[in-house]
Amino acid sequence: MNLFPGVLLVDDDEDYLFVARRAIERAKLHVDVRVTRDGDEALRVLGLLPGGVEPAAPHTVVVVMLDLRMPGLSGLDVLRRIRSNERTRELPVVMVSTSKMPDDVSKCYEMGANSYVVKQMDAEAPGAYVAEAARYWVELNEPPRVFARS
Amino acid sequence: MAQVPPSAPPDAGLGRTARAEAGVAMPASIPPARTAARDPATAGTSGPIPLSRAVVLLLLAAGYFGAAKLGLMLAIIHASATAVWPPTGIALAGLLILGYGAWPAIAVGAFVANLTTHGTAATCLGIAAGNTLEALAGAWLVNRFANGRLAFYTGMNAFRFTALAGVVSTTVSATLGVLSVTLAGDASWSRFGSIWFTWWLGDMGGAVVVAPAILLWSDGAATSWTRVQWIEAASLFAVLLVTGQLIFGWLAPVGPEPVVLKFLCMPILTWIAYRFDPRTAASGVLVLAAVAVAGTLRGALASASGMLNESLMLVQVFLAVTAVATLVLAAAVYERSRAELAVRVTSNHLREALAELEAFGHAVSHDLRNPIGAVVNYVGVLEEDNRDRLDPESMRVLGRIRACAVAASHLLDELVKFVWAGLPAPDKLMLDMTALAREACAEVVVASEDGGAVRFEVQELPPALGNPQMLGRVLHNLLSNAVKFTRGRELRQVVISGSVDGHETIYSVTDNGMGFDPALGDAVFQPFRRPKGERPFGGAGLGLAIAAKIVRRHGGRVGAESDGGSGARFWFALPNGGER
Repeated sequence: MNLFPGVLLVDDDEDYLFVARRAIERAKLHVDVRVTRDGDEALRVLGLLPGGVEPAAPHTVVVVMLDLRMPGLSGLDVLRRIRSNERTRELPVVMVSTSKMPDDVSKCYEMGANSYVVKQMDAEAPGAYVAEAARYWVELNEPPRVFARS
Repeated sequence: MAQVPPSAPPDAGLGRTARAEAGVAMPASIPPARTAARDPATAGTSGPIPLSRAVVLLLLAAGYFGAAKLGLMLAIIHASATAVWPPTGIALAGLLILGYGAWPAIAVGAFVANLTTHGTAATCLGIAAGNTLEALAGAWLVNRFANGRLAFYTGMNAFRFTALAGVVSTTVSATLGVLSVTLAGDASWSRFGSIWFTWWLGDMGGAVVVAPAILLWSDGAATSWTRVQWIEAASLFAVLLVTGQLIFGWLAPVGPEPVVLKFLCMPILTWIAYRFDPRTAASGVLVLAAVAVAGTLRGALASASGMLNESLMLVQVFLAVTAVATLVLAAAVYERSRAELAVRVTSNHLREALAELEAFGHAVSHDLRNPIGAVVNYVGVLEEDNRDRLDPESMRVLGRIRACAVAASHLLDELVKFVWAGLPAPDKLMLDMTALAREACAEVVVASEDGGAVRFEVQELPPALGNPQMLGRVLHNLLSNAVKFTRGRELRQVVISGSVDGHETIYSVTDNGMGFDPALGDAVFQPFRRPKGERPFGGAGLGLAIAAKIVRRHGGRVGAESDGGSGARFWFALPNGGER
C-alpha cells in the first residue's frame, strides 16, 4: 500500500496533466499523484460519489489541484461539494486555471478555495509551478487535523 | 423638399410579435410589392389590360359616377358646382393605387355624371378634363413629395398630402370647371369667384376626407386588435355618432346650434388618432363627414333658410381642418410607435450581440490559451530532455517557436481584457484614487523589466466613483504605456496628477518620453494601433484601447496630448456627480 501523501489533479486538459505530472516527478516530491479528468471522477476518488473508481484511502489526499473550467461539473461545482461534506470540509483545495479574471478569482475564494494558481507557460521549466505549489501543500503546510499524517 | 420617398412599407422588417409588444395598433404589414412593383408612372401602359384590371377600372368609373351624382344633388350655387365633392378623393386614391393609367375611368365617370345632370357635351368635357387633370396632378405631387399611397404613415407626409392634393391640385379642377361653364355662358363672370370657391372647397373636402380612408383601407394592413381595443374603438365611434347627432342632427332634427359646438368632435377624433392607427382615424373623419353633411342637409331643408350652400361650405372648412389635424396626429403617433419599436428591436439585437461577444471572449480565453500554453510547455519539455542531442539550429528553431507562442499568448491576454473592458462596470465604489495609482505603479514596476528605473510621482488625487479592478486597469495600462515610451531617456519620469473640473474629475499620466505624433490625436486609443518602428511583439496594441473602453463604460472621456518629442500626457475624465 502506497503511504505517500496524495495529490489529486483534476483537469480535462491532457497537455496540462502531462506537464504537471512530469514536473512533480522531476521535482522528486514524495507524493502519490492521482489524476482525474472530470469533476465526477474527482468526487468518486474523494468518496463523495459512489461507484466507478476505487476511492482514495481515507485521509491520504492532502491537496486537490482543481481546474476551474471543465465540461460537466465545473471546478466551482466540485469545490462546493467538497466544502459541503463534513469529511472533506477542510481539505486544502488549490484552484488552477488559465483565467486571471478578478471575478473568477474572487468567486473561488468565496467558495472556500485555499489558493488560486494561474496556469503558467514556461519553456525553461515546464510545469514547475505546479510542482512548487504541490510542494508547499505537501511539505510545508500543516494539514487540518483530520488529514494529519501520524 | 425633393426627398426620395422610401419605397419600403412603414413597418417592413418588424415582426408581428414585436408589433404586438408595442401595445399600439398598427397595420400588420403593407405588401411592398404594391408600391414597388406597380410603379404608378408605368402602370397600365404596357401590354393588354387584364380582365381583372378592366373590371377594377369599370368599378372606379362607376364609383366616381355614383359619388359625383351624390355631390351634384347638393349643387346649389350652380348646377355643376357643389360644396360636397367626394369624387375628388375617389379619383386621387384611384390613381395613387392603380397608377396614372387609370385616368380614363375618372374621365368617363366625370363626363357621364355631368352630362346626365346638367350642361352641354362641351362644358361637360371641360369639367371632366379638369377633374381628371386634378387627379393626375394630385397623384403626381403626392407620389413625388409625400411617399404616394403611404403618405399617412408619417406626420410630415400627411401634411404634404393635405397641402399638395388638398390645396394645390384642386385648383386645377375648380379653374377648368368654372371656366368651362362660364365660357359656355352657363354662368356670369361676376359669379366666377364665388362659384370657383365653392368648387374648390368641395374638391378639397373630397381629397382630405375621402382619399385618406380609401388609401388606408386598401393598403392590405391587417388589424390585430385585442378584444379591449375593439370595444374601445366601437365605443369611440358610437360616441362620435351621438355627438354628430347632437351637433348636426343627422338622425333627428335639432335646434340651431352655436358653431363652436362643432369642435366637440375634436377630442373624440383626437382620441381615436392617439389610441389607434391612421386607418381608424381616417375612418372616424369619414364618418364625421357623412354625419355632418347629412345633418346640415336635413337642417337646411327643414328650415328652408336658403343658406344651404353657405352651411355646406362652413361644414367643409370644418371637416378639412378636423381631417388634417386628426390624420397628422395619427400619422405622427404611428411614426413614433414605429420608431420606438425600431429602437427596441435594435437594442435587443445589441444585447444579443453583446452576450455572444462575452461568450466568445470566454471561449477564446480558455480554449485558445490552453493549446498555446501547451506549445510553450512542450518546447520546454523537448529542450529539457534533448538539450545535449539537438544541434544549435534546432535549438534556435525551438526558441522561435517558443517566442511566437509567448507573443500569441500575450495578445490573447490583451484581447480577453479588451472584451472584459467592454462589459458594464459592476459595483461602483467611491475609490481612493491615490492608493489605486500607487498600487498600479507597484504592479507596473514588477511587471516590466525596467520599471524600477522610472521615477513615479503620484500626487494627491481626488476620489472617483468606479469599479476598483477596472479603474486600476486603466491606471495600470496608462502607466505601462508611459514606462514603455520613456525608454532611452536618461531620467525617466512619470507624474500622476488629478483635478476637479466642474462635473468632471480629470486624472493625468504625464511622462517625459518620446511622445507621439500630434497628428494622431485620439487615434492612439484605437485598438491595435502601434507607433511605427515598435517591435511587433512589444505589445498587442490594446492597452490604451482597453483603458479608453473602461473609461467610457464609466461614462467618462479619454484624451492624449503630445508635442511629438518631449513627452506625452494621457488623461481620463470621470463624471463626479457635480453640476454640469
